[in-house]
Amino acid sequence: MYQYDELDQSIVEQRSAEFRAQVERRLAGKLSEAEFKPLRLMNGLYLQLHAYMLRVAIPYGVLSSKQMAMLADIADKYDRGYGHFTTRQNIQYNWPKLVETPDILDDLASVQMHAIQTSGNCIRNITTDPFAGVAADEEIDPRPLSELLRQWSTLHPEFAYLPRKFKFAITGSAVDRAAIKVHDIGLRLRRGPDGATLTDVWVGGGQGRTPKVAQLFKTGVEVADLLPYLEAIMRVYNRHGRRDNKYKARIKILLAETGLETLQEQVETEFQSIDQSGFAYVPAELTRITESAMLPDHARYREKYKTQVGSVGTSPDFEAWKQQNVKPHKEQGYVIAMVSLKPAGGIPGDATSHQMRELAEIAARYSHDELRITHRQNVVLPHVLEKELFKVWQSLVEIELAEGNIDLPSDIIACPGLDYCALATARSIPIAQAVSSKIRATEKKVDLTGVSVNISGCINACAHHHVASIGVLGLNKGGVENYQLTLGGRNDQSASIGERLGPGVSGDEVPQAIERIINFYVDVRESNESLSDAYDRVGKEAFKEAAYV
Amino acid sequence: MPSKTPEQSIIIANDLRTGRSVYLTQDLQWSENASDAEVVASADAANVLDAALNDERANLVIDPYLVAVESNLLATDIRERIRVSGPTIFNESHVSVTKAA
Repeated sequence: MYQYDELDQSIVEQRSAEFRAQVERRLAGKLSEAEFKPLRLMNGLYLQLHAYMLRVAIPYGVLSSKQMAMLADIADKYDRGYGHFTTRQNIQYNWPKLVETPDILDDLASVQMHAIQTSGNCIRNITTDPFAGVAADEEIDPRPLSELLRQWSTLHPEFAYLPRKFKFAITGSAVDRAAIKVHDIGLRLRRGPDGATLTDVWVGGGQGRTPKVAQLFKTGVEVADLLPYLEAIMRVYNRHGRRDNKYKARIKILLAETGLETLQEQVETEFQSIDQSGFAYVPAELTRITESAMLPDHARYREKYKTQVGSVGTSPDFEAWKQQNVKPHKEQGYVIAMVSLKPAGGIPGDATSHQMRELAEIAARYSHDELRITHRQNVVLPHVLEKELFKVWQSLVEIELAEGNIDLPSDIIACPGLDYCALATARSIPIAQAVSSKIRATEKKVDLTGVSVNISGCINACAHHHVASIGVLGLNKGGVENYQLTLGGRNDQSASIGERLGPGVSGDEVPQAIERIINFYVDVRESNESLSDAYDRVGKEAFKEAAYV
Repeated sequence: MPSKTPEQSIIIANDLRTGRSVYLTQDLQWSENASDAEVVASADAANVLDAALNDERANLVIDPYLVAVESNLLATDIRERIRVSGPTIFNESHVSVTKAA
């Protein structure tokens, strides 16, 4: 994986020192809360319902064992012994103290990590395919360009005060595992006729109160033109984005109000005006990034371990886990092992410090020191020799992380909701716990792969409920929590926004309603038909009748 | 903050240094324990809130406001009830794994 150079390291160290000084000034009363708030938010520090919350960046979801172990240490030293992995492939701590946050940032900097741009109206953490570089179906590894985008967007002086937050996602596979079409900008890398990398640029996707699927904005952008082209989009957005109304400030609204063609023309004009000599460094920097050990030497390790006996054991539980959680790797003899952070009845995305530390150890022993975080709030061990898979599974069983439910309904995305979040209108975690407890037994008997359940605790849609097969949105209706159901969403290359099914239900009714929807889907589905495809074919009324008693 | 002063309320804020929810006590101190909170009648609410806002200006707390409570000190609004009593899901799974370690 990418290793910081001196410049990267000095940026995070200086930023940490700067924040320490800002905290000292705040505590001394030299900064008011109004003055300090934007500064702390730029360093990922929110004030939530019960305490501060620190969001730590995990660029494109990639972690070393050493970094994961540090995240565990921080959870123990400064928090309550656990962390919450998020849909931006980041981690959040729910109980840090302001006075200790500079120390946390120092600890993060010591392992090439930070919390820069995890909040605020700036370019947020770049996300990508959690199988990047190892997926059997991948055309182009998106990580070098992800890293280039990270460097370009980090502390970019023009884009520190955008009209609103801005999210990029990038993939190099035809199967979209990065949900690029529900991002402000989604990038799809592909091979051109001569084998060179080209990028199709999708603009204007997003969720929240006005969900939109991105539109194809420009096809076939060459690598040398990519940063100036993105810079042109950002400049046009920065200039014309609605600063008068934060609910209309995302680029999706600018696109809808301006029109695709006009916005394309504005961007093209801006692109032509950019002095491209400022990007002359890109080819050499991309080469440097690519050569900085982005991937282990699989062939060498495969050779080294070829005489090793490896996994000799098996069990029905192991086989069931393998069936659901293990994905094909591009290198012979290797697999991608997914670790579910969704035990039935558990808190989606949470891991204890003990679990994080053990995951770091498992990755060090079996996955070339590397882990990934997924936007579905799970963990990936990207480089596991197939012959060692049984031992990996046994290690996961010991830390209660061997739930074989990846891509099943109990693999729920849930935001922190009203249990933690100051913006939330209803709880999401207890609903997720009740749903996964109820549905887990069913999905062990019936194949429900691909049925997704995402639960958001407010209209901001942090849990991506709009693009789930079954979305749940928690609202407050007259002081009482009330949950709307949406059906038919998709977050892949066929992205679509789910449709509201009918009146909201109480929290107690959500698990039963979801169970009835799933049972109806199982009854009506045709071979290999997804729930959203079945919904499109059968229609809303039939599903509505099934869901509501 | 509700626009109408409730019949009885407590004052909640966040401690600046720790971020923890804190409650204004009868002797105008701040406590992390909700049971220490002074229950304020509507007639006194404005004055007591003023005292709390002084502490905000003194950089002790952030965003103090009145939370309506019932006779048993339970906040009437679900958001405030959760804020006072903590997450409703407190992590049993975390505890079991930590113990296993």
